[in-house]
Amino acid sequence: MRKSLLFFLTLPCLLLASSLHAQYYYNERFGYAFSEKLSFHAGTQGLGMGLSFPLGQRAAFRFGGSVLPFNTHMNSVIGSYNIRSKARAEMYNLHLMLDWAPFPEATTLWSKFIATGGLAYFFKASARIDSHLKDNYFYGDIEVPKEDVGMLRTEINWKNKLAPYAGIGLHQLYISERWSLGVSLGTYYMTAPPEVKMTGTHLLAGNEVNEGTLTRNMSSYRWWPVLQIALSHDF
Amino acid sequence: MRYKLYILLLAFSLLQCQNPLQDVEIQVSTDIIRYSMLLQVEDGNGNPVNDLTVAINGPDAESIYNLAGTRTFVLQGGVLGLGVHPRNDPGEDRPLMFDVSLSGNGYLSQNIPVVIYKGQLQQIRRTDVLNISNAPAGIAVATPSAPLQGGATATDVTVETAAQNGAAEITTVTLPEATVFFDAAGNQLAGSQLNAVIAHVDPSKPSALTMFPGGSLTAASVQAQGGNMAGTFIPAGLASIDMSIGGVGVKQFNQPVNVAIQVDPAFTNLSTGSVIKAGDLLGIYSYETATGLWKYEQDAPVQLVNGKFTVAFGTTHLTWFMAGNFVAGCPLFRTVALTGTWLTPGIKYPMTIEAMVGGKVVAAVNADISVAENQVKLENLPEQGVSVRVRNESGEILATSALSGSCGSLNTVTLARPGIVNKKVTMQLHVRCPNNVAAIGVLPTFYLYYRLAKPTSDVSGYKLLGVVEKGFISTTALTPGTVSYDFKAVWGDQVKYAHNKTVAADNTATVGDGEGELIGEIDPANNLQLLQEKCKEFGL
Repeated sequence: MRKSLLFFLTLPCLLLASSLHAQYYYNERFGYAFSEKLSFHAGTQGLGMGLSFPLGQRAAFRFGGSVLPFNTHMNSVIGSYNIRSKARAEMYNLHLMLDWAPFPEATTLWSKFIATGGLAYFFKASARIDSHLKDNYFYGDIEVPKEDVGMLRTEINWKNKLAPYAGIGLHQLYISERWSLGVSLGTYYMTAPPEVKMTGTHLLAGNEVNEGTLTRNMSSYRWWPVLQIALSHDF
Repeated sequence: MRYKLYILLLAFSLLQCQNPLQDVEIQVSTDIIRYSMLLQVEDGNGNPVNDLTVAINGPDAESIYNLAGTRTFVLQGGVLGLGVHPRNDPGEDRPLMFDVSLSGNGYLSQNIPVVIYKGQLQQIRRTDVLNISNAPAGIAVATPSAPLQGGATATDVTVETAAQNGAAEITTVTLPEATVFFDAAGNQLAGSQLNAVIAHVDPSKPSALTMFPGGSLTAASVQAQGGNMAGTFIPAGLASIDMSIGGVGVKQFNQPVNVAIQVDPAFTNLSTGSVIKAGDLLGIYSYETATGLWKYEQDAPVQLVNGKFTVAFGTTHLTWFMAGNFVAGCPLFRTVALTGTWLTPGIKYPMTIEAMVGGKVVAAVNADISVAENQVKLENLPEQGVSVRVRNESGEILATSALSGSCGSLNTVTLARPGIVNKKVTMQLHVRCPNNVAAIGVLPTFYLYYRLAKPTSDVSGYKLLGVVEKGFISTTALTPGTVSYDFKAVWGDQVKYAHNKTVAADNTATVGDGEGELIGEIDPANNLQLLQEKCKEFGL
């Protein structure tokens, strides 16, 4: 709780600080808009790094990669069963983005506004959900312990390797001479619908029949949202 | 980190606007019970019996449930389904043992001992229970009564059966004057009338021998002359004597009463090797239904009385009495393997294996024989003098073979090719709950019976087709295409019927409520309700 609170407080403070500073870094080669930098980002596409190289006065291309391994637990109710699941997602990508600053000479925060388009190569884009019955299962009066009931594994895989990206953000929010922060909000579009595989063990074997239904339900799950903050260091 | 990712998930879901879990149904398999058995109860005349009280006793009684996982034991369609709690499956050297006791008004109680060995996943036992007012051929039942004074007989009282219903001989019980009666606990009984039910069983009639107490002429634990042992009875005379005063069963007398049983004149005495004659000694054994135990009483000489060979003896207790030979048996069981070049791998053939000693069928086992699973265990049979006879589901005899070797040796019996070997018919029975679209992935395991199509009101004549494992059964008992069959399925605690169906060589029938689906046709509304309840139970 404290970490996220810190996060939410830091960002506006920094924005406030940098605007109060009223210092705009002027790059002799590239003007105001972009600089060569190495950045570290954290957000909904995971943790990653990137290298930016300016392209002319208003644009830069950014080459980077992200890894997102994430685990969580979920509770759900399906039919009359309480289900407890362990979900794990793995999205690993390498991306090439083109950032474009439309208003680099504005005097307000708009000078920091960028629009981004790009392409990512996902060498792994999948999620795995292991579910089991939360309560013991009763057959008549016979109690079957949870371990003997078995587990249902759902594997969701986006088979497309390439995914386009579009987004907006704020960049070059300097906190010192060479260190700056950035914020992005965008989405990847997975060009292929996810492939779903279900396998059940013990008494949950046979739930593979739900594969088709789940695949159908998830066929519109193509947008992978990105919300992240980046810390960059200018060269 | 965690909360950021919750936002991710939320954003993710909102963006997509489609609940991923819509129409997803979790199905939990109902194959919890690994070991099961079916007890088929008939009245000796081919009619299934339902109105009996069932009790499970014995060392492993606590592990026995019905097929739906509860401990309510009820006969349905003449069938009792029993299952073993999965935690208490039989072990390598530890078979499960329990007794099924069946009793009811107007019936002679039966106590069936059951043994389940490791690996014996399914078992079908057949037993008959005597309907006092509708005995099968070869059994004469009498229900005489006698007045009492002060709870005792005032004079010598004689009660007997009559030579009727295919029983050519009779049993006579003579109670001397001043006989006093006690119940099972030893309390003296008071009343003004003594009621008796005497059943004389003609052991020369196979139809009558089905009533042998315990369901078979073999017994696992007999208190014999030489000690406790397993063995086989070869009866020359067999009678059940029950008495009651004021509705309470009489179990003991204060003085011996005389029992005279006329024996089968064609009986071959194993002790002499020849037909019975006056002067031969026959063993008298008594049986107590409540405990299911046989006990040696005495030897009695055969006497010619009124032109009939008779054994007479005194006894101070009831109930069943057998006069004849007792042959000690092998401990536990003998194994027989059935083979036949005409057996097709992957198909199960229901067979009845009869063990015969002294020309009588002493035990019958029903088994699904396949090339992979072709061994049958026959319990308590003697080492010598045993032969087996194998019949297929149409009753055709496929083998008659004498067993050789010692108790532990494996006997292989070759089955002749039956007159008619049908094409293989496979059935894949799905269960589709009314609200679903696709067939359920969880397929049940249950016992399936069949018969040639008959009017719905007639519930007799079903023969076991086999065990449907996870919805699948493969058989050659059915003629595909032209013949109409009735099916009976025993699933969980339910018996469901499907009438007038023809089978295709490859049958995928879906049990549900749509067109072309094999749902119970007697009382479709109630059957659909049962299916829905079961579906609801499984969360569908």
